[in-house]
Amino acid sequence: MQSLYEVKSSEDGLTYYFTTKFNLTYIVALTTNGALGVNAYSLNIYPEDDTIKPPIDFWIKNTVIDIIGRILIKEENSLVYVCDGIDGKEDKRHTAFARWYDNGKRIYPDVRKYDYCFHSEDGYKINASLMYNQNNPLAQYLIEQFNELMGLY
Amino acid sequence: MKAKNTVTSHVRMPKFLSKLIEEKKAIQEAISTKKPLEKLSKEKGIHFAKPL
Repeated sequence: MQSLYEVKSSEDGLTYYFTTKFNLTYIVALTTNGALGVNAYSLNIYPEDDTIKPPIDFWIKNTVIDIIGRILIKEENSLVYVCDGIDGKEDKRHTAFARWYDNGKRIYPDVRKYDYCFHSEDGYKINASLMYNQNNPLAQYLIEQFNELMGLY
Repeated sequence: MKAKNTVTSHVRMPKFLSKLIEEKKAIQEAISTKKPLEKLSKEKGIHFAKPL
């Protein structure tokens, strides 16, 4: 994929980061909690300085698609992405994420996304997505586990 | 394989998501306040991974 930023490892070795042509740095933190297996990661991407309104920059989208694609190119890996509604922007973020996913399918056709959206009883809207490689022999099992964690069974 | 997406309404927040959201907020706050993530990891038991 052309036009993307170089993703580097952070000094503490715990996360990744990339710096845009507008000199804004984004931290990419991947975490695991074992609920979906050792190869399931939760994806978190934040600007280092959240006080600056970032200009439109398509390279960020390309970079995130590349990060997700490179993780999920390994069949055994999966990703969970959650957009919460604390700031009321959950739908906007979820729509953008869905669009990025559609764009990414051209480059990483084996990546699949399973969405779970709901309004919690405490008033928040939550959009959660499970992303996985369609060639993962445990894909169906992952979806079932994800649903179970969502309380659907 | 095709998976059917799910939409439900007004349900109790699943513990799994609660934990993930709490984790996200803690990471976001740590980044924003420049708190070392290593410290956060020890305090909150957050396991950072490097799959790339």
